[in-house]
Amino acid sequence: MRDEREWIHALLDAGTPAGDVPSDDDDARLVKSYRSALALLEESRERAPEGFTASVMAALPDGVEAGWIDRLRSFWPDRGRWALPTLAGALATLILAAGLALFQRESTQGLVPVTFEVHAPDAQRVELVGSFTGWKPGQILLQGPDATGHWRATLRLPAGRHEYAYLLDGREWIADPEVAARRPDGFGRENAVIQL
Amino acid sequence: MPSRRCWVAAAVALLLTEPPLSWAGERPNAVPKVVRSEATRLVEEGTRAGVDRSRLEALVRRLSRAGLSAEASRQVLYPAFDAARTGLPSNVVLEKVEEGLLKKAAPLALAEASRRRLEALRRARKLLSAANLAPGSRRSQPLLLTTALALESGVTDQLLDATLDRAGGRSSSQVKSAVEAAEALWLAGLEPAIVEALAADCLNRNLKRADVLRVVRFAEEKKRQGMAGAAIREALWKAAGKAARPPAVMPRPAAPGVNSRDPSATPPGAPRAAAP
Repeated sequence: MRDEREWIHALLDAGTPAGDVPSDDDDARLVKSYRSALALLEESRERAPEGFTASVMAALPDGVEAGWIDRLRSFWPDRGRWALPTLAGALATLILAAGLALFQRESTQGLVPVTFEVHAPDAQRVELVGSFTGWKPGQILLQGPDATGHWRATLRLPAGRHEYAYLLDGREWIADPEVAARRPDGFGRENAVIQL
Repeated sequence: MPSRRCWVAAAVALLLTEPPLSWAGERPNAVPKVVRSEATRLVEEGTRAGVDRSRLEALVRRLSRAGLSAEASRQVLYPAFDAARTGLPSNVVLEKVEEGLLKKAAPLALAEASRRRLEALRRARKLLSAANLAPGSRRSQPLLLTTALALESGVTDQLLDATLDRAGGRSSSQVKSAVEAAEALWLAGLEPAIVEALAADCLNRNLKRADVLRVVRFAEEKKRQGMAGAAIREALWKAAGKAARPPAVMPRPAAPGVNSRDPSATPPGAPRAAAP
């Protein structure tokens, strides 16, 4: 039975049967009726009138530009609902501009190179501690001493006012003797003050 | 007899597993329960006031390690709590305490420095309010801090008041630079009238920060060379091609602790900063 069905399907799909017509009389009659139905269907197919395709194409809008304009127009809200998208766009622009300005400020007004130098020929270790290290020790060690007994460190510090002192061998505090601005630290010593 | 052996074994085991009480003080984290609860209360109080919790916890631990009692720690930290409660930046008060701890300052000196920093912040806020410079806003915080530090350095309220009065129409950064210049010139030993005049010049001439720094360096250099204040100002603007009328200079009384240095003992030079 399955073979017969396959045969019928092949007949309907391709118009020509694959293999022999089934031998059974009923099946043969069935096939015959299918064939006549198929022939009827083919005869009843209506063909499109002459020039139909040309008339449909003529009814379509002209050119590619018109399509893009319509597409763009579809993004714009109707009935005066323009305030929200406009404000959203303005806000986004503002945020972008502010972000760029902030980034510019951080990158261009950032750090100023500065060299610290102190004469301490007898010291074994010289540290620089100040407001820029949060008064935490051990972060900036000066290199030295050189042949003249000087210790030196070059840093890049944020522009502004800074207070600092040198810590010699972990126990002796001295304010930079080479800067004009020094102030009492409130603990019986002095800090140097620099402006960058 | 077996029961006595058991007791001895238990006592030996106890001795081996638990160090004697006298060792407890040598353990790094050994803080008596009473002290620990006091410290916790202090941290809670500061956090409620608005102080940064983690920084406060670290500071309380350091104060405890430095041997300060709970009451002494409270005296040291209260100005920071007060600052936070009244909308002033508490972090600069804590920074002063950290500086003092690093320099192994005595508890009384720590408390005094902390209190002085709070007092300077309050005075600065008053000055900024008088000059309509919105001391409460976040944007004016750097100016508030700069003014407070200038006051702490000994610059008078009157001088800063006169400088801030000329801030109209200038940017916050320009006003801050003028106040910093006033502090630097004051610490360099110039007369108050000259300091005030130079700070006013910076604002009146609408100078940018880089130019203000040049003014300060020029004045410091000339002061080292022994030039008088009025002459420094005249030379400065002559050098700039725009001679300013010299101000009526009132002689400045010697400020103790500020002008005590011998200018000739400070050679010019470091730190050398490149132009920003």
